[in-house]
Amino acid sequence: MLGVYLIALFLFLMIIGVPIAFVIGIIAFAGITAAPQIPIVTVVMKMFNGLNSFVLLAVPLFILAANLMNSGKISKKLIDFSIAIVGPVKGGLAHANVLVSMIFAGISGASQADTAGIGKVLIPNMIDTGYDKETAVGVTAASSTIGVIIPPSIPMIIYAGLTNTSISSLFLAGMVPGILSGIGMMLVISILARKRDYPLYEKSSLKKIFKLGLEAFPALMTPVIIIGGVITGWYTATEAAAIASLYTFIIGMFYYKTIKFKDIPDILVDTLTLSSLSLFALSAASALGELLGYYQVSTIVEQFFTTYIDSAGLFMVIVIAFFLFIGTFMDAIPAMILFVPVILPVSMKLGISPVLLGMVTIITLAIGLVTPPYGLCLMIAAKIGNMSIERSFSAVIMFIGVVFAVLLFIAFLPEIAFYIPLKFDPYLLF
Amino acid sequence: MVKKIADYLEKIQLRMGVFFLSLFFFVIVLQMFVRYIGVSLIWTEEVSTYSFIWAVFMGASVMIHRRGHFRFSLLYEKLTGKSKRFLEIFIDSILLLFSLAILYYGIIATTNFWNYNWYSLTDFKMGYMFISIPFMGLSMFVYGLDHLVDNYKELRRSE
Repeated sequence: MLGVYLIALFLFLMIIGVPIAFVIGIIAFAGITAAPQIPIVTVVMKMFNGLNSFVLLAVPLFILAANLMNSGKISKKLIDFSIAIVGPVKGGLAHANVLVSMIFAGISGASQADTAGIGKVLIPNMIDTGYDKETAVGVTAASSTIGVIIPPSIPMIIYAGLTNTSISSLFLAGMVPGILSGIGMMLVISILARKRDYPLYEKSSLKKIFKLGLEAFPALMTPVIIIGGVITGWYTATEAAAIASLYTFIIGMFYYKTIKFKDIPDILVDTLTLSSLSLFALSAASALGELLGYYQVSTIVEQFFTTYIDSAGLFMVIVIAFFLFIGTFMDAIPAMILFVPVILPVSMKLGISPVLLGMVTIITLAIGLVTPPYGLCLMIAAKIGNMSIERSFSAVIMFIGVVFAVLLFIAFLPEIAFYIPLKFDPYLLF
Repeated sequence: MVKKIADYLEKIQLRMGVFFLSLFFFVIVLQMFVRYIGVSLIWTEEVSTYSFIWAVFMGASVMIHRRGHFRFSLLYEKLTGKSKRFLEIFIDSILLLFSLAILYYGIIATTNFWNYNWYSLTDFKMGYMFISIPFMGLSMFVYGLDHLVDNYKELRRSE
């Protein structure tokens, strides 16, 4: 009964417009006050302890790396290079948008920075060269969801911390759905380009492509340094995030000379404020997680599934549907903190590997980045393109459909999907 | 008065947040560097994690002042005039209650654990860390009050 009251209170506070992180915190306070055995001070203790984990330091550091890329106009170099390669194809700028999102995804662990950094350059550029607004906004928002699917990825780091799964296995596995989603989106663009007659972009000479490639080379090396280092175990994810920031800082400051000392305070303030939003939500979610633990929600869920459903396939369908729903109004990080501990025991019982469950969870929640009412990447892209959320969402559907298809593919045919990663890590699906 | 205090507080908290952010960044880089030359420092993880917590709590408080925390604005956008103000005042009051709870229980947590020591640097007390919670609660209260006063003034003006 208490559960029903709490859910009602949750919905009420959320609808009237109390910030979501605070709704989570208030419910934790209300629930723990009602539970006689737990002292109320547990709420703040859990908020503190939820953040007391070295791996989480990767979150602000990856955001810092992305902010440095954007404000040092290093992302612009990557964009120019991508345009030079795929520009001359029909729908070239749209292809370049996807391609640069994939490269950016290999550097940053979050998607918002991708949408903002690439969108600011490519959305106006696409509209100017004759694309309709819908395509410009839709491609930008949808392709930036790849940011959390291709490693490094903040949700993967959080998931690894929650479940004791190896980060390098998750990083290795994430490349498959990430690259497939990118290729799929490019296929959709090719079909649309013929139907809607998308413009070509001027052809670059081979010499120019080479020159732009050389210029972008130091930036292009970043994914190799980060992902390579983590997968081979040279350094931890947190250290990789610090290296990403340091490396970007050094090339921005001394090679490209686009980052000035006077920009640094603003970059740091932006990083602090942006990352503290999801981390505060995480902190509040840890307190609420204590309540779910107290009422043994995971045991109840496990009993329900093993008695009534007992099918790994159906469980997958339910997990996907559930996270699609949750993702429409909640950020990936708090959603995982709250619900992954609840579903993990069931999935283990049904024989689904933690890596596979992680992939499914992360990709489903990545789709949540473009689903209204609360889809962060959609909101950013819509704002840059000056378009309503509704119109932006209808523009995004076709491209996000690709991500959804990839999600179903890896969820139900994991042996085929992860054929290559399994060669490197045979225990990926155990 | 409240406005001035809130603006001043924001400046202080931003500086503290940026300081702690830079601190843990440097400590992690240092950790990698010394490991590379074959030395190991035991305190780096603790120092960096605790400065991270301070940084997050400072940033989260400032975002209350800047109204940066994500929320649904559907109802807010539908309403106009007076009812819009009433809704804002209602939300402000809820946030004020929440920040008071954080402040109160933060003080309790801090006093309970003040004398616990760090694992690595045993001269350091856990109290230095836990005090970030009541500080966050207090600053959120100040920012909330600032908003409440603003909204109340707006309400009076529209009458």
